[in-house]
Amino acid sequence: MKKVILTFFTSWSKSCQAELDNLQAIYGANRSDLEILAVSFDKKTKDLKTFLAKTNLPFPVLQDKKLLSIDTYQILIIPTTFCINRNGVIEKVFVDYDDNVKKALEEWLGIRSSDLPSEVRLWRTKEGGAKDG
Amino acid sequence: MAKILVADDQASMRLIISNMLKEKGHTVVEAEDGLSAYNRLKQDSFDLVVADVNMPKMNGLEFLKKVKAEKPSAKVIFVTGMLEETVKLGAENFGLDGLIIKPFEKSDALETIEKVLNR
Repeated sequence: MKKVILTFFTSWSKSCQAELDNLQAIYGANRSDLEILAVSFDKKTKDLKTFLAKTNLPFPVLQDKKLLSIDTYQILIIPTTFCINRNGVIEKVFVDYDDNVKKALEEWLGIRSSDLPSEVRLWRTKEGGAKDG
Repeated sequence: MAKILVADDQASMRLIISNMLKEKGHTVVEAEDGLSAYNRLKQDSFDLVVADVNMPKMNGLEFLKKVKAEKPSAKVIFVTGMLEETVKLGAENFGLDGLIIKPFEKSDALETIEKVLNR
């Protein structure tokens, strides 16, 4: 059984974009031991499709445009991220995304930032402005 | 820093909003339904109320009407998942001070709250 990260996001949120960027790197380096599922609250499928075409996320993305999972999962702030262990038990819940959440996610997975590939950041550079990959 | 009343029937939602406000140094009091929130507001003064639109015992609109009738200077922000016309129309008519749509970025919600507090 793999560990699972379940994250709820919208394509317009900068915090979500930053987290998905990091999750993309994490997934790339830990694919054999990790599943990531992303659920979008984008109400317009077109916006989500545009975002996915640009980001090319390697893990499954679902859309909840009726926001049904907000009540089920008690979500207010995006991103909200659940870390689920190999037994299907939620071990951590992260609300919002910053350097502390980034470190805590990596600690939970038992990885270091220096082990993650930087090439995955290339999709962010298309938006405007050079960014070190 | 401000004293803020957070009203929502779901404990987890109250916790998320309360933590967000406390991180900014605000004092938070919680209420689990519209009637409790209304009674707290009568007994004590708050700089702001952040309330869910759908609350038991007294829903958000009813709460807003009563609060604004009795304490016109009270500031109220609704948290809602749907920008329904009825909510928006009702809110505008009864002097709602701000609206936070779920789900939200923490920074956006805090900005709305600070703007209302500073009016």
